[in-house]
Amino acid sequence: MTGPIPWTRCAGQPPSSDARWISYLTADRRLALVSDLTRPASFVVEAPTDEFLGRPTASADGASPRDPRPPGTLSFPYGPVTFGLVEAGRIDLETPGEKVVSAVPRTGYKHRQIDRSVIGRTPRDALPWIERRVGPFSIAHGATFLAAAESAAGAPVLERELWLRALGAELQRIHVHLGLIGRSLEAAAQPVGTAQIAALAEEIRRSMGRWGGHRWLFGLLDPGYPWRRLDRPDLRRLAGDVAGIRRRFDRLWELARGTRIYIDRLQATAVLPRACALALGATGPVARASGIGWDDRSADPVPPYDQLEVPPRVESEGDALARILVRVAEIRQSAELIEQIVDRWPGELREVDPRPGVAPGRGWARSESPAGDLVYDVTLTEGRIGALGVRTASAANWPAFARALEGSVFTDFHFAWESFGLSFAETDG
Amino acid sequence: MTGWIVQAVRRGRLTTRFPRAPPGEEELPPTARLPVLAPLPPTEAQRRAARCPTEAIEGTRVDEGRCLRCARCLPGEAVADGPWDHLVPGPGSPSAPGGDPEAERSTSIFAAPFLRSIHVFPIDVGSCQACNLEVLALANPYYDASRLGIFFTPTPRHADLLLVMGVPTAAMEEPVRRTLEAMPSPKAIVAVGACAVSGGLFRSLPGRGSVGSAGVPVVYLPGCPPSPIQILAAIRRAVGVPRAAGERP
Repeated sequence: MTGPIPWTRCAGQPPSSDARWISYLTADRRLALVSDLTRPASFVVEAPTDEFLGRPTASADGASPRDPRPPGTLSFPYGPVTFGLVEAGRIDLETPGEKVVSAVPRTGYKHRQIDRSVIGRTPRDALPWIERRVGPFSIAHGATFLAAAESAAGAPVLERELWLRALGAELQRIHVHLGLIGRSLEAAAQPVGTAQIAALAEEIRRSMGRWGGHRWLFGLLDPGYPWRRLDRPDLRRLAGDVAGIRRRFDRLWELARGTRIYIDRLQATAVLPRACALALGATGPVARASGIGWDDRSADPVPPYDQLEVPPRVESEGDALARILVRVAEIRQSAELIEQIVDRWPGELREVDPRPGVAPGRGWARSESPAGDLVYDVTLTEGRIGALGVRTASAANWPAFARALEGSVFTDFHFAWESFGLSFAETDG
Repeated sequence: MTGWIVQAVRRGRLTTRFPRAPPGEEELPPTARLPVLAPLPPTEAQRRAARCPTEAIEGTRVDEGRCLRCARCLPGEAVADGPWDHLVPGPGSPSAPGGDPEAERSTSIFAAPFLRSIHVFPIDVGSCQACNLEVLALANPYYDASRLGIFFTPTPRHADLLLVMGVPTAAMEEPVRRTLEAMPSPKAIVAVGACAVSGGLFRSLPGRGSVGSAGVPVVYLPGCPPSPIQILAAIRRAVGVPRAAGERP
């Protein structure tokens, strides 16, 4: 998909007429700068167009090519008030009773004007807003934003800061994946497994709280944060916690893998073929589960990932099981990465140059968030944020989700939802 | 099947001793506590107040409802050792001076206290997901809220208590109103987290602080996000059970 990617918002005034929007082509693994500017950050709860969802568009007389619907088709709005989705958002499902004919995600219920709130602040002051775009990914967002700001300012950054960002990001990746796996077990009516995985998620939150002073690591990236514990014994203890969680997770996953009810519900559910994943611009674990071996940590690495081995974890089936398997493999991979990061923690205070900017005062950065490729585009004017663009992984994956759900049955919804791991908060901003 | 049960039994008891014993340090990281500010010379105090992202600082007084416990106001080696179990009186207002905290803590906001069982329905009105997941954590084996008679219900029609998370956005106004209408009386709200209490970082949104305008009693629980122990304590207080010390054996 080379065109502009909708559902991204830009705030403030565009810096110049030739402003470019950053996107990328998954197909040939190349970063493309696509020119697009950006809808105003006004608030709408919007339904995406057929074109956006990669469907054939309506003909001139207004008839949708998917008509006629089967007789008795009803439209079922799921959300925004339901705890099945964990947060406020809505999916309109059309179904004649069992098969889902179409699924249309509606986002915007949680638009908190974050992009607008940070305009005019220094990057360090803007951090609390950026982190709270989506709590479980706070480090991915904070780190990518800071890297983009450093790229805009051309300011070198301490190597240790980059290692700290990677450490926090890997901790949060484990936490997010554990949550999704636990809730998919819940949907398959496996209460013991659900509770045991939820206990692991709680343990990693407690480890983050003990090490970083905050259960969600809010504030950790600020150099003045008082509860940064970067001494070797503290880091060792954290790595020990993670190793224990990984051991317990391995035992639980052995049991889950042997539970027919669970695996049967995931297998061949909400299939996203590789061609669709490419055409719709899917990213992250969703794309990797459909056989696309792209991971920012190895495909476009920044320190410290350029010094670490991060082969992408890939599956080929493209179903809910494949997506869960990718997440399982990534929990193990992140646990190993944390061990390596702690082992090789940089002692001396060396400075690293940021990514070159795209224009004077304008820089960008990307990183692999737990949901996939995350891009920030920051323009600084006199050290303050003049314009901000975000392209989140959740926003990129909605079309793939809608497409994968079509043709599933109603009760597959939760397996599709938890395996995709999309966030309304991240999309809405 | 048996494998799961053996595994669960092997892990043993994980559940917190709270409320029979005070919560441990594990359950309350430093950011769960309110910072305590020492008096500073005026210029320093001003600089400190300017660092606060929610403008919650006035001199040495911290507006508890707005404070995110983000520690930007603290010097490098300081610790926040303020109280962890504070509820705040209302949206954005500073803690009540000279109020009687004990009285507030021991009475239920319901006319007739629910002593044995309460059904709660969580509603997200514009959060970052952190509060949502901390509320969900009440069901994990570490907190196990159902042992205290607190149950999640999938529909507001069966709910006594509404847990509101996040800053009310324009699009969520109507859904919240209809959810409250669907709840049977008596009902009450717990505003979970700084966003729901005062708007927190999002005080420029018109919906901030509107949680209290529904004519339903509200318990305001600050924090960003409050930890599950604090949510548990707030629900218990809304319900009117005696404080931890007076807990049934």
